[in-house]
Amino acid sequence: MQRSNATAVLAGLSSDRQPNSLRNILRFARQKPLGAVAGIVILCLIFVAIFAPVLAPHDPNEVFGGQRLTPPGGEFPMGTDAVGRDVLSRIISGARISLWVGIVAVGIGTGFGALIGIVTGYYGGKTDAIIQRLMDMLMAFPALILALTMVAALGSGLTQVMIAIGIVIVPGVSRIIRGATLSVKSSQYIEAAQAMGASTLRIVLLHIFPNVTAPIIVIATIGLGGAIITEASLSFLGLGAPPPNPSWGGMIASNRQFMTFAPWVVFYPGIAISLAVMGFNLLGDALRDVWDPRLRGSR
Amino acid sequence: MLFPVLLGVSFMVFVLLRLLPGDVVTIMLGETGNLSPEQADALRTELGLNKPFVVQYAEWVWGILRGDWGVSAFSRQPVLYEMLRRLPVSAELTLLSMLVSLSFAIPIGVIAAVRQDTPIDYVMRIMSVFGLSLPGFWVATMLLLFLAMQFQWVPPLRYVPFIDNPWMNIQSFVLPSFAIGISASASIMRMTRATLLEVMRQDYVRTAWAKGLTERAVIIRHALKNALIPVVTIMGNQVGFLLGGSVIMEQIFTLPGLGRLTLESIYQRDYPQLQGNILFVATVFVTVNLIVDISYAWLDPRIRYR
Repeated sequence: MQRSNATAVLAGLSSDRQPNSLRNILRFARQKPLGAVAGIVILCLIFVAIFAPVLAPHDPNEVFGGQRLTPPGGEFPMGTDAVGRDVLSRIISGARISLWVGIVAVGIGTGFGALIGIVTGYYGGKTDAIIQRLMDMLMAFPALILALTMVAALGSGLTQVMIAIGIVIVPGVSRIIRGATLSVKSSQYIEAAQAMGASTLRIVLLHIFPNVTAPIIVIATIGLGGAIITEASLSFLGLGAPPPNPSWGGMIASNRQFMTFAPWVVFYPGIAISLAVMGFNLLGDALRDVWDPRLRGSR
Repeated sequence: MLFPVLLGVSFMVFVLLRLLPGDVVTIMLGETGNLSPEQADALRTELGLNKPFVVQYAEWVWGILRGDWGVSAFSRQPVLYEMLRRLPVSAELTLLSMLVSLSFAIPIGVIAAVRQDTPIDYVMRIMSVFGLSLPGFWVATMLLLFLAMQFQWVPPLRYVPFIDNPWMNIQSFVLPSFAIGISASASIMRMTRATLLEVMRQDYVRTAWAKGLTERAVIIRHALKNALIPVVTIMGNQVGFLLGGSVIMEQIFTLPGLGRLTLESIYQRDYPQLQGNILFVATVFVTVNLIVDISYAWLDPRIRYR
């Protein structure tokens, strides 16, 4: 009786019951608790961003004329800003903008960067040399200066900011992915595939790309943190999302002059930015440690 | 090797800025009142905005090589003059920030490596995550807020050179240096810890322990010197970045540095100044990195004695 019970229990626990990905996630959580916590924070952020209109207690752009710079409490859990808008609602809506800009910018950046990295890594030769020179030239500018210049050149507006940040990310990504491609390229199974006459497209898609996905995801995650800070910085300088968009960086900038008697208006947006960026950085770090510690470069 | 990159950079800068909507003349019209269309055109011709693109580029590069970087369309001063005037400020900020950053990062990084997995190590890792994640402009703003509210103190609003009034000068720089230094120290801390850990596993360190040297001697005299080599690379990177690029800190603390100059020339649509700035900043960045690369080869004895 006992034995069959045990068998029944063991059968229930058998790994055939749980899908592979769930098991991996739970294993990740056990190995890297900090990363797991970061992951949860990010999920909350995404949740807030998606359901922003429902979650925000007030309309983020609604002006409460007589209640400017009210301290946190009651109707306005985080107070109101200089114009009379609810800070909490603006922070919740700001999550949407920050996340959206971050995702698109990083998407563009890692997408193109990975493409360039894989292509130059695989083909090598003259194209590689020329394109790498081009990337070197892009990297000759400090990131913020490049982003500033692009925004200045393209004009201010969300799309332009996304493109600007994306372009800033491309060279760094291409360099890392190129390295990864080079190391994959020298593997024997690639040689075998080539000997079997597989087309280049097939090799790249079926063999190189899946083995390069891990660095791409790590870079993308950490890049999201950087993108959010860059977007906040641009908004702070007045070159990011145009008003009245509730951008976290913009909120800090426009309310700075009142901060000595209304510290909450600059405090909370900063906390929001820090939490989001920390979440992405920690998650990216944890992923990198688990997948490929070799990526631990100069960070 | 340097030259083609810089040439490409100059071309990139030039092209990028030709995409700017509106030109200097339109902005100036807004500032100084109305200019008749003829006067506006005359201004354009004077600034050379009418010539074909390639000619403008060629003239500009030729001027650069001869030391004439153009004239600011806004202030009517030579571009190079404006930049050199601001350079000492950025240089001082960079120097002080790196001082703060290093005196913070290296001791803590070393301790974290030597006492790995103890509470100090975790504290260091948390600090470095904070340093990397907290937005610099927010940290600076919070510092200003704290000092203003607790001690009723704000840094002086006007910049005075060190020679004129050292005490006031330091007061202007102390907050931004700290804010920058703390962010910068994050990556240096991590790198120091990582490389020191690696170095400590080497055989020659084991020999040093076996010889009976004190912990201090082993770490400082033997392990640290080699561990710091990659750190120098990061430092160089940061110096190059800070010299031209601490736009935000200079803006917040109203320091007339290179970063602020770039920002202002963007606001004012000052083509010539902006071009010169960005080229200058990029050149500094590339040159500093080059120096670091070369010194890396020199610092590593294995390469030096080959």
